[in-house]
Amino acid sequence: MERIFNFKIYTIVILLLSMSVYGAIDCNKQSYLLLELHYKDGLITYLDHSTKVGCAPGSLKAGNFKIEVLDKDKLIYSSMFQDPSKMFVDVGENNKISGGLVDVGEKKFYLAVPAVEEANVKIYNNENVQVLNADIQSTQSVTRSRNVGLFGWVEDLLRNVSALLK
Amino acid sequence: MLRLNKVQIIVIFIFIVSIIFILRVNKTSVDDTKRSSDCFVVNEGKNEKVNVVFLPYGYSDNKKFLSDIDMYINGEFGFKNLEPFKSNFENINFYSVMDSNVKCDVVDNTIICDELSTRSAASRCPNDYIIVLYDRDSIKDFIVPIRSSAYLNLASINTADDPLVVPHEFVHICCNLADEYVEEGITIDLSRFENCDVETCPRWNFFNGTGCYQGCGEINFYRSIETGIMRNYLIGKEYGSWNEYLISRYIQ
Repeated sequence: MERIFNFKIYTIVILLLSMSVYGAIDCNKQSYLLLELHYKDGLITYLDHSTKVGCAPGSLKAGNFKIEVLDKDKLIYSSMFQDPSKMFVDVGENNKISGGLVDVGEKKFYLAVPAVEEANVKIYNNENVQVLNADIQSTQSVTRSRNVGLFGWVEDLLRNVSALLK
Repeated sequence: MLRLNKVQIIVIFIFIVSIIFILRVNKTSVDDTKRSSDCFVVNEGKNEKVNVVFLPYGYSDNKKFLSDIDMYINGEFGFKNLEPFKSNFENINFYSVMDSNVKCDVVDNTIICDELSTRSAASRCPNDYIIVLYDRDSIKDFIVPIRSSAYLNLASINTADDPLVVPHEFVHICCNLADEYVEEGITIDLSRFENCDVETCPRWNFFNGTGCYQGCGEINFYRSIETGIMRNYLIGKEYGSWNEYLISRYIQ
């Protein structure tokens, strides 16, 4: 009994210490929802989504559209994004820049947001009018990082060490 | 007396060895050190507020790619030496992904990189903004100039253009700045772009070091600096004080 207790204590201490030392974000252990969307005449339509391993962008401040991701009515992510119907193009030649802001019209585009199993995605335009409200079921059966838990962490460590030694 | 069994000894041993290696990794985590198996830390700011990922397209070797990244970050007109990024350099992390398999196309003489492949590659690192560098031969580009582009949070860059094309495109995606040159047939929404204004420039006429010059996206709009990076990066080598203020708000 005492041995089991000791082992548990050691494991917890080791996990806590290792988490504090290895505090850097590892995108191989995160997942994100890649939303496939369509823009036309100010309206955004949800087309599809997929769950992938990796980091989603953080909360961006620039843009005239806002995306919110809610998990059971709780806001878990909010970010601004630029107008999907506009693209800047620029080239410098003969001491002059040309190009400008080009209208790409209706367009399919993608946004990456943090993964949630049951996400409610809302998008607002620059007048704070809701232009999309979509409920998205994500099964999370994505091929996530294989390594979870203490031994996963050790495996990750060995992988990093072998990468360093290469 | 504390007695350890074999499993406990092994776990403690692994832990100690791990700590030693992890400390080694963290100690050398600046300048091209692997963060994970795919994501390279190029430069890590202490405050870590903005994450920028560089991806390669058309490079035959990683050395050239890393050398270009170095120029865009540490060069004379790189982020490290260009205000307001210079003053906020500790807020920005720069990463790169080498084997990114990014797909790009040249459409109407403009380099446009595929969103799916770039987002997938960039997701291996913390990524707020993605910059794809298209390694283009300068002689070819002299004959047929290719335009760089900025769409959502993705900038596709023709490396044969002036080095300041990167900070020019970057502030399109990060900081809501419009082009300050005038292009016929182009209209811009003043409410969206704070670096342009109406005549008399009420937005910044109280701000030190600004002017009010005609032409900002459209001929009837006005800009704060005569020739800055947003008007002509071949001649102007700074954003101007008002634009620096605007950019700072997004990277602090």
